[in-house]
Amino acid sequence: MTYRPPASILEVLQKVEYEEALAADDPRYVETQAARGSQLTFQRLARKFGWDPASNAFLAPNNKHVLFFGHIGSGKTTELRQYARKLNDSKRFYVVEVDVLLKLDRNNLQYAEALMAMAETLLERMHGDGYALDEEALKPVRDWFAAAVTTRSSQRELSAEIKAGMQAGGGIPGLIKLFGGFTTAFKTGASQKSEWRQEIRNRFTTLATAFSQLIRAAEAELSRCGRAERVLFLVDGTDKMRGEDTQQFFVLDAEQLLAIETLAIYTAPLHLKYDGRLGGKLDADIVLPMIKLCERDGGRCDAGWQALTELLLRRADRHLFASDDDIADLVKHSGGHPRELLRLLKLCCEVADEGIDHAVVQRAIAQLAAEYRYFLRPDEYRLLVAIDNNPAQGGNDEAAQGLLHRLALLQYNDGTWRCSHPVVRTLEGYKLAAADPLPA
Amino acid sequence: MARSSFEIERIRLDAARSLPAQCFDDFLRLSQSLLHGPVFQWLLVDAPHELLRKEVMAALERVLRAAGLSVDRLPLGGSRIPDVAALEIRLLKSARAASVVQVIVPLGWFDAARWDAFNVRRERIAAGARTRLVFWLDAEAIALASRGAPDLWAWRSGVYAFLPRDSLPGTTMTMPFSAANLAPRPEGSDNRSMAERNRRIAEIRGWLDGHPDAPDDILAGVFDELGRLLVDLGDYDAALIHFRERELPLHQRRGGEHDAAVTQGKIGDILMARGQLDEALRIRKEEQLPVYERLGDVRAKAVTQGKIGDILMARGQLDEALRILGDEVLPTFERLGDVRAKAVTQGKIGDILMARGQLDEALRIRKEEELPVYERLGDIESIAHVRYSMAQIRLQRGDHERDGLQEICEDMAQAFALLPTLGRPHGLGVVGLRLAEVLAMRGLKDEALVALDEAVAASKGVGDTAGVAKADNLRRAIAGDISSSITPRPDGQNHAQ
Repeated sequence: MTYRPPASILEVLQKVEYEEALAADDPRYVETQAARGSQLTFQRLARKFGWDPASNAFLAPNNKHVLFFGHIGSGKTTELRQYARKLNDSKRFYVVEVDVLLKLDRNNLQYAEALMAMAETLLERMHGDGYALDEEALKPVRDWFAAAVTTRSSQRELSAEIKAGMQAGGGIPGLIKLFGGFTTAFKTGASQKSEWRQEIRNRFTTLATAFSQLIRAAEAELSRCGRAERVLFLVDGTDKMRGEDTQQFFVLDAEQLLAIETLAIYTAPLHLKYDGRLGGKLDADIVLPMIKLCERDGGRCDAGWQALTELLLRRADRHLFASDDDIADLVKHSGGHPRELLRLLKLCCEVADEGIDHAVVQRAIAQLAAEYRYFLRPDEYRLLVAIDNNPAQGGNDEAAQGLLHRLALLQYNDGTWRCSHPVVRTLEGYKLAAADPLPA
Repeated sequence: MARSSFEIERIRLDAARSLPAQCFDDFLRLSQSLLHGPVFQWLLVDAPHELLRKEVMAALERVLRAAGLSVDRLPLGGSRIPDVAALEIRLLKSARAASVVQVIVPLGWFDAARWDAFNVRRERIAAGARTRLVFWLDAEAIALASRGAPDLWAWRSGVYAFLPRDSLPGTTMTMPFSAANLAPRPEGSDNRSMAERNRRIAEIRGWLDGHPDAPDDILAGVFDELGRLLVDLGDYDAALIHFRERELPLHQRRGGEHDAAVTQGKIGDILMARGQLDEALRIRKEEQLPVYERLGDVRAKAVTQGKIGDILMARGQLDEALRILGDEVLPTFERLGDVRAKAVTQGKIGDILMARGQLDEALRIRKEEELPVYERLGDIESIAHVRYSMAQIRLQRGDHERDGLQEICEDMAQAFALLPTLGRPHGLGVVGLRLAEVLAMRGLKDEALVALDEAVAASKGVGDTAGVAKADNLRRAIAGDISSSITPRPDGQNHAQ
């Protein structure tokens, strides 16, 4: 059935959900490669995993863990789902999407439970697709659990979930139950979590080897069936961990992630790329660029305007807007950020009586700007003005990173230039700073 | 009983208008989002002043309950919800029963650590508490959330502010004195929507609060518009208070005898609408007429006499009403060459004749005196009214039983065709129903059903359940092919027997 965008203000309002990432076949998805200047992003990502989409040449590395950066709400998950589809369709990769937010508690998330969730999801996916692994392939992981449980049960009563998992039958379903017991315990049992974490840490080398062997066995089976040659984990939600967990996961425990011999993509917050702490362990090259409305020299980027206009018109029928100028005004003030555009659209729906006209758009812009006023300080306005006056000199200090994280500062072309959010430039604080800029 | 969307909207606008003017816009935004936004939302409200917060919350809950949304309140602090872990448990519990959970946060409760604790739970809360969460905070707490937990900040569904006037940044209190944005709107038909008119009221009230010493010359125009808006929105209580306590004293203070009489007339209009005919008549005769006579304003005097005629007619004193309109009002407007006022007066005379059973003369006046004037003036609303009235008179005469059904149908259809342009959904529902009746009587079933569909849509839009029920009866009658039992009556009371 042909997709029709919401045709009334209230219907638009009802359907605006910022957190919703679009599935690969969602009719609201808009192709943004040209708009982001990211035509090469997918190719670069694929090549990191040994596949050249143009020639279909393939020689995968044994082990590759890639971070995928982007602004909050810039469409990372939506884009990754598109990439996942292409990677899956290539028959080179069996992409396993792991949403850690869904599987685990974000509270104090560490690599131990992330690995458990990855293993569990791989087995669930294979089982769901009708693949089986013989007991020999599953034995190393099962043995690790048996040893770990023996150690723990000598010290403390096991949780009901883990007991149930240990008593589950064989094959993949039995192992899924076992992993499920652990992820549930991790999610709900604060005291058990730290004990199991310690246990995993103490016996990590064995676990890493067992998990890697499981992945190899899965790849052998997938290859035998002609489905794929390598398993590729797409770990989403890791960009939304809290500050110290992000540091622990990607920096302090990076060696543990690398100990799992597999191919993996992790979503990561943009500020992590620029704070200098990554230390080169994980592959940190790929950034999902923002949609550009203009080039660095100020010239108009038509592809960006077209993509965001299209994005807007798939969320709200064209007849709701009084004129093309009103649409353009919303796009312009989004700064190329999809979620900010949706936020402006929602604000329009909150203030509009029937349609979205010039007055409504101006009120929405003023309202979004007012939300930035809550946290911006005079020194931050001055920094934003300084960056706008010299976009290539964004700086990597904590202040600039904070502004990037909170979207007051937006970054384009993989970070080669930055500028302030357009709505921030409407604030009096910014105007005052612009009237009296920092000395060059 | 479930309220119509029209009724809920009216309650929402009334609630917004009941608040201090500076709260108007954000109240509408917040209530719009709660009523029509997604099921799960996390909304931040900056409302640090307890009294104002309570006022806004109470107004909001009136609207939510009218819309059938259940509300729960969770005050933080104290022993029941001492920390974020307890808050999570209470949110999950409240969300099972409430459509909206209002979390009342004491000043300073949400520090950086608590925001952090809330942040790490947010996905779990979103999954388990699928409802609208409204957090009543203050600016400092909101700033802390945005600075300390940017990803949580990015997760917000909206931010709203309800602040006392003197704490607003850049309000009219601190702006240079200017009434340019308060220039009275031009006279004549007002095409602003209900929400726009409400917003304008808030704008005017806000301006008045910020300019207690504004010159009377400016206030006169501002008061006039405010009064008209209140009357337009049917807020007669507020309008009466406005006219009696602000506008009338202003004119008396300025020595504006004529303006004071006009304001008295506005008070009289409201009293008339409320059925307080004696007091309305007293005002016309004692407060207005002597002033206009003394000032020699013959037009205003004729208008006032016309309104006296209306009151007399409402009291059943048809002869006296007819005498005033025919002998005093009509000649004045003829002399002044005011064709519209003359046509309106003739219409009133027609109404009296109709009430007295002089239907032929009433129809003649409508057709030959009134209609040509309105057509020449392009007054669509009056044309629709006259056409509908002509059809009513013909029905009352029994023309539908004497080959007059086609003319009735044509008049009714013309009135019906004009109504959508006037934005009168209630009228569209009533006239559509009557048109469907006469079409059905002519055997034009398909056309009748089309008109009926439009009438039902219009009636539903304004919550006219009685109109919808009548339409359903008529639809059954049409479907049952019992056109002989459909008997249109001029009073519109019966549709199918």
